[in-house]
Amino acid sequence: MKFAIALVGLALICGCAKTVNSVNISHEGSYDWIKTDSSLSDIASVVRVNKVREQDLLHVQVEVMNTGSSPQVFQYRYIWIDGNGFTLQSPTSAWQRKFIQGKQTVSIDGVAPDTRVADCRLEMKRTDK
Amino acid sequence: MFQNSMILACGLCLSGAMLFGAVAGCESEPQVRQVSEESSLVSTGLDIQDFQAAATQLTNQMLAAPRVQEQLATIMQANGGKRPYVKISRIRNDTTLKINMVDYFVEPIGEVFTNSGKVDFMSEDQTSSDTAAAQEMLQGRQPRLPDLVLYGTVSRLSTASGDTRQNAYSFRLKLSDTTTGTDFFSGSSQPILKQRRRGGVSL
Repeated sequence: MKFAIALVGLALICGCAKTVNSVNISHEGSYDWIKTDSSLSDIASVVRVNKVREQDLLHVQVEVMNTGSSPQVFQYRYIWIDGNGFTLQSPTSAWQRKFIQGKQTVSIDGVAPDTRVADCRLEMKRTDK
Repeated sequence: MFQNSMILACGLCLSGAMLFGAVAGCESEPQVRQVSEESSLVSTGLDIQDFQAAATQLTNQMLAAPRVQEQLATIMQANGGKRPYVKISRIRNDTTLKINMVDYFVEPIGEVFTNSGKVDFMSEDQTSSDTAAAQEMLQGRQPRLPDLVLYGTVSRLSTASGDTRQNAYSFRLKLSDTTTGTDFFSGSSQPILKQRRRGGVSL
């Protein structure tokens, strides 16, 4: 009985944990989706990543799908990284909200603020507000 | 008798001390703490996260617009390699909120464009502008005039239904060429909708 209660408590704690899911997008075009929040992985499931360099600036588009039926909201931001692996500070790296309907696919667009940007990382997290 | 009086007095003192302690313990002092973006306040007005979202959206739109990039390249070529010179004109505040829209909305956009080497912004500092103008005159040249002007509007549409009040905020920005007087970029953020019901604010 005690074990069952502990298990339920642990499940609740794990279920409430809001960690960041990341999509590391390399300059070759490949991407790596790092899932640390399984609930968020269902709300914003990465479907496709598009990447192109226009006017010497990196343009990125990550398509995510809400695999559930109810509308959801999450936050995201792009982190821009130069050719040497250094993060470039930019006002465009602030967290932003995204609304997504049930079973909807939306694109999260980002444009590098600097020509030195080679790679980037999309970070996503759940939100209450 | 004396003993009873002493016990009563001690009891009263103890009760008084306990009562004082309880009152002092309940006294709430204002607390100041630094919070994460997640915990920032949400009001029916414009909050810092709203400015950040609008500035990011419009920066991305400007950076991604082929016409903006073409225009910047054309001006740079015509100026002999000098970066286009931009003046921030008025950001009309149609919200009734007393906020410096240039500082919170336009400066982050200017920061990206300046630091990326795309354009030069005209300094807002009077001493810097006057000195630059004097230097140009000493060298027998005309003071440099802006090639581009950035201007825009922040507006609010307030509506109400039942006990719910809604504010819809919109950020618009335009970039115009001073040689032709034409706008070659026009962008707007996604509307920011805020509702207030009796007892809460929702987004």
